[in-house]
Amino acid sequence: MNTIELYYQAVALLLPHILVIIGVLLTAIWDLFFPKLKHWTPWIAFIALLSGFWTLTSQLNVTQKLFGDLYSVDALSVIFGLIATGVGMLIVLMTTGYEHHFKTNRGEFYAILLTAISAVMFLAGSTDLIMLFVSLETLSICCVVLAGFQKGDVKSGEASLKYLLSTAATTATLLYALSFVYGMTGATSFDGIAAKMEFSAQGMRSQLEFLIIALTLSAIGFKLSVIPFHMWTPDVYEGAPTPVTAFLSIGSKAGGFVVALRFLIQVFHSIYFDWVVVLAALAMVSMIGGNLIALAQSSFKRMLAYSSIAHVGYILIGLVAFTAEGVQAMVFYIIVYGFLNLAAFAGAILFQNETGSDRIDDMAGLIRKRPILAILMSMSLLNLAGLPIPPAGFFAKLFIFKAGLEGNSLLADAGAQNAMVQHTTLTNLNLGWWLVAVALVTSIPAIYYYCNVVIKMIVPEPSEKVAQLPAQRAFVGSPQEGTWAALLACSIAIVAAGTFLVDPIVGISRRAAEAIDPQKVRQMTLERKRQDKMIGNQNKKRIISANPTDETTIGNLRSVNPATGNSDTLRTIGDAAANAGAAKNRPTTDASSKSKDVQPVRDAEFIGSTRTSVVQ
Amino acid sequence: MNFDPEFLRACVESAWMIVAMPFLVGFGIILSYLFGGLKLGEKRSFKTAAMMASIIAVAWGFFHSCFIFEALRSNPSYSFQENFDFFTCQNFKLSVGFLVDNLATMMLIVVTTISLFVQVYTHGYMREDPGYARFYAYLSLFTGSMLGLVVSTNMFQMYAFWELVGVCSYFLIGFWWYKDSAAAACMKAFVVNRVGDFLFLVGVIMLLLATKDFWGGGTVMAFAAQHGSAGVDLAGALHRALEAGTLKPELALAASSMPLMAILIFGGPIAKSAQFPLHVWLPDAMEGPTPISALIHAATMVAAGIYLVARAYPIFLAPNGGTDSIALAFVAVIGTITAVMAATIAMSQNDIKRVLAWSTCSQLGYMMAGLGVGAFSAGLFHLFTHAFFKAMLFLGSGAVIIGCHHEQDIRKMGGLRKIMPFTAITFLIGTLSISGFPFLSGWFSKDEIVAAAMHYNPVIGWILIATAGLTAFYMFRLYFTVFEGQYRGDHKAHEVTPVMWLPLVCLAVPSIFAGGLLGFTKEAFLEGGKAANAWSKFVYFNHPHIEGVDWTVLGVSTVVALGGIAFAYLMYVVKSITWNKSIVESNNIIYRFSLNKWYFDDLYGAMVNKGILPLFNNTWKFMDTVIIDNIVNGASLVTSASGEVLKYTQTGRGQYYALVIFMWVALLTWIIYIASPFA
Repeated sequence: MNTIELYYQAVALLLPHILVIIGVLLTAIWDLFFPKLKHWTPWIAFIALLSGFWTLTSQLNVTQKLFGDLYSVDALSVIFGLIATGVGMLIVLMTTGYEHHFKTNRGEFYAILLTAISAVMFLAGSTDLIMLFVSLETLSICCVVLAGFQKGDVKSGEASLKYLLSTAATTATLLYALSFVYGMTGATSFDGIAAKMEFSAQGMRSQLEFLIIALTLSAIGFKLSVIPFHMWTPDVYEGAPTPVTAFLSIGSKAGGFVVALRFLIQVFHSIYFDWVVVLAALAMVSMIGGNLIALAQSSFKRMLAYSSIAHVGYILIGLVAFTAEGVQAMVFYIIVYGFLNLAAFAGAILFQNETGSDRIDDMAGLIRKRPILAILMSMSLLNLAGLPIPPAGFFAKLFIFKAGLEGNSLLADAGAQNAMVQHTTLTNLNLGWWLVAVALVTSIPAIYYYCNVVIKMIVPEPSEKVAQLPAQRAFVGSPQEGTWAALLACSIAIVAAGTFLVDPIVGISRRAAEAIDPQKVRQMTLERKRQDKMIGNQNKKRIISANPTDETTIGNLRSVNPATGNSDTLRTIGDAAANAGAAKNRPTTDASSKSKDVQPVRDAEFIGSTRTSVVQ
Repeated sequence: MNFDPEFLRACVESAWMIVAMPFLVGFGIILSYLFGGLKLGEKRSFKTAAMMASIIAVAWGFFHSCFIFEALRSNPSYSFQENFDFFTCQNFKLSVGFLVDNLATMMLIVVTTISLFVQVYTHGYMREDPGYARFYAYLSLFTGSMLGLVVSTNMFQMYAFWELVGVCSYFLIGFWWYKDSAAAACMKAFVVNRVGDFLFLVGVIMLLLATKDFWGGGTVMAFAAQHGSAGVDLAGALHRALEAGTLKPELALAASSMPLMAILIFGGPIAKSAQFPLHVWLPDAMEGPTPISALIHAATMVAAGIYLVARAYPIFLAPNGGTDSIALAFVAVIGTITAVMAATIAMSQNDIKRVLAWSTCSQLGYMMAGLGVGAFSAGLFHLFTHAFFKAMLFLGSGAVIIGCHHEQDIRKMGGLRKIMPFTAITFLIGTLSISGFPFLSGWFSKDEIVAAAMHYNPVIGWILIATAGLTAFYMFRLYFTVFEGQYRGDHKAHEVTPVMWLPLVCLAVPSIFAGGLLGFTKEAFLEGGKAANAWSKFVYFNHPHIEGVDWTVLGVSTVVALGGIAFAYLMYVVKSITWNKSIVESNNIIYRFSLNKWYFDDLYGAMVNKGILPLFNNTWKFMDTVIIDNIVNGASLVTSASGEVLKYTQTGRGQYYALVIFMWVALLTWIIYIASPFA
């Protein structure tokens, strides 16, 4: 394929992004050229996102790398692109009922929002450090501008400035991490780094790795607002315009999650044991802290902000599990949580527009005046608490807890089999069990504060602000119709996701999980490394010796290297077989096919011999 | 009559329409209320439309069921089943569908027939009621749910419709919700049924867990058609699970857990079919309008429990497939206790509908006992015949209540035979039939049960014979008190309109002839049981059960029943025996025991008021005030205390935020270094 064809192919695959970017350009200049048709701007943005969404759905089966590994189109990037554009559409709808707060320059809001969404889409497919950094920065800068969009509002300005400072700090840490990674490995593409990391994991451990992990986790933790990198969250969430808060809480977080998935699984899988404990600790702290602080909030938006910290903690259980099921549960949770959270924010906008308040106490008795709003909000809140009404949020929690309990066998196996690992007690604990236990306990305050709002809305007499509300008007034709539509769409999606759409969503999540299955990624890198090494071995054999026992010993000795557990044993077996094959001068392909035969056989003798060699 | 086989086959394959039509009508009426407002219920045209639609839907069901019966009768090895996915998640799948076999067809005919006559009768009974259209909506919903239960293909679907008929029953008992007694009764029925349904659910889940690997991709927890359809069914899956249990202990559906499972599942029928000790709701359910008592609480819903036991018979059988299992013995004992207990209570009640309610309870006990002792066909035969004469008795009692201006106390009736001739004659037929008067329906079906019980265990057999005597006595006590002697009421009684007595007359026909037509054959009666009777050839488990008539048992029980009738005659008509008065006057323990329904309500009341509620109350108080409050207070203390500390970090000054990030990066690096096993 020549360069031109490659170029055309790339353009075809990037069509969704291009459509969204066309939307950016159109919304930016629309007001300028058609000042009389200003009110069309949100619909242009909506159509751009819808067409992006539509074209993305046709790419679900594509797996393709573009621009020399810079960007890849696979199920993971497509599904996160779908999430981003879907969230974008709902936020555009919501904003139509909110934009009167922006006073002037309403068109720019949509342009910047679309830029942020396209940044998430690019982020989802980034498989190169440079690409990752550029998209992440685009997203961050857009978020800064969006947070401060309510010009003249002091809180909004403050939010913007604080976000800017914090994001600058984490950009610095991320850039440090990336430059260290590049310095260590000399590569910028994820696969290249992963392969080099694998080598370094075999040999001496560099202290630098610990620093890299901490720096990376700080950047990811900032985007996901994980405690202790959450300090910006409450101020920004409260100060930013509500649709922006909704975007920050789910759109920008989806970007954070995809970075976490790509980076931690695809790049850092060989040093899994180094980051997993810390990630688990961060998840635990987030669950505990987020839920406890949310308990004490009187502002609805602040409560949602803190509870989103807790939800991130839940979602990270799937990553700690480090299995395909874990990733699948994460994606399912993100999709469902997106609908739930957006429904809650849409409800908050509707309430705020009518009463000018977002205090929970002011919501008392809402059902008397706005029964549909109260019921739909209650449904989303109860689902956020994980109650099965209908069971969308319940299934999300169920899947993630199940993955947490079943995952992490890697660590346990390593603890059981590897003498070097056994001496540290931390790794002998099954992290998943701890995380799920903490998640279950912290769900109790979550149920309390979510249900508190629901009960407030339904049981007591109306508060002053609610009592002053006029009688319900028709939705269609009112300025709120977009927000109502968003709320209705989310509610329908929640009902569907809890009943007849469970299986399709699980199927989609599984596609994403298959694209970045931790075990498979690991196997692939090991395979590539083994082939590289085998060529090396063959060369070495020609030069030095042809003694097969030597080769086997080398294979076994390599397992002294404790970086990996179970799969390392498999690798050793594979290596031994491959080496034996190489020793008998078999062709490479034959050897690799033989190693495939050997792999499933987890023969105790092999493990035993490995263990012996470790002791030796 | 000969029908085109293709037409009959089409009838069977479209059996879902029987279920769907009443549902559509019911929801249609409710949706019209939703869009048209409550005022709509007062419009004459709307009332008529609701009535016509409901009756047409169930009449369709009746004729459709008859064609299905013809299809199955003319082609004895034919049955039909179709399943649709209801819920799929990964490799777990729940299905709904419809299963048409002999057992289901029998029940379809019972439900549609009774429902049809009851709905016609309702037009007369509820004519003046403001909730006329609403009542038809509930009736249609109930009929649809009950028919859905009947054609269920699997335990899950059965459970879903089981709950639906339960909730319809709740709506209908509480139809006159503004009456305190009705509101309390519907709540009681619902709560008592929840107890049973919970056990049922636990049993179903146990069954699912025990057999989950043995459905081979087919319908989970499926019932087999009577003629053993291809594919996986309860019996097959249980069998395979048991086999695997012997091979792999970790998969164990140990043979010992099967009776437990069966008894838990039987918890559902205990509540729904008003068996001892969860029978307490049924007499109170008589607060509902009388057509409801006839349809739901006499003929159909309460028979759902019997139907479930019959459908799930493989679970109740012993691991070797015999009828000597613990679970079936349990069913038999519960049935027998219910039969005799309810009969003793019925003797002292004075409310016409409650006497009939207790008699229903007692007869349901007979059916359970029949299934329990292994007389599968006989138990269901009694269900069939009982449905007709008990529905007729209830509708008759409704006619009496209307005729006496909403008077239900039998002490204020009497001599109605001359005033209400149609009601009296049909009531007499029903009473004779339920008492086991020779050659009427009840005689055939009841005596089959008694004979089988005698064969199974003489104690159960004799108790059931004695109960037959009691039944004859209290039923004739009711009849004589209401229809003979002098009228003792305050208002002038009158005969009801034809729309109300015509269904009675129609139901009298099967009450007289159904037993003989289906139960009598020359071979079975005179030639020592060379062949099964028509009923046993149609409804059976595994293979038709052929047993000749045991003339001794039949003779004894007939004599006992006739004795009961004679006793009641002497006591209430001739009045030569005055024990009844002396017992009431002496107010001794036996009388009080019977009058107060064996003190079950008081026992449960005491249990709830003195035991459960205080326990919950105290637990709640302890949990809430001691534990939760302290946790909340403690948490708020800790939170505010840590807030005091943290507020120096969360200063709101942006540069500190950045500083904290850098500080944590350094700390994390150190933590990873410490925590890493490879450092």
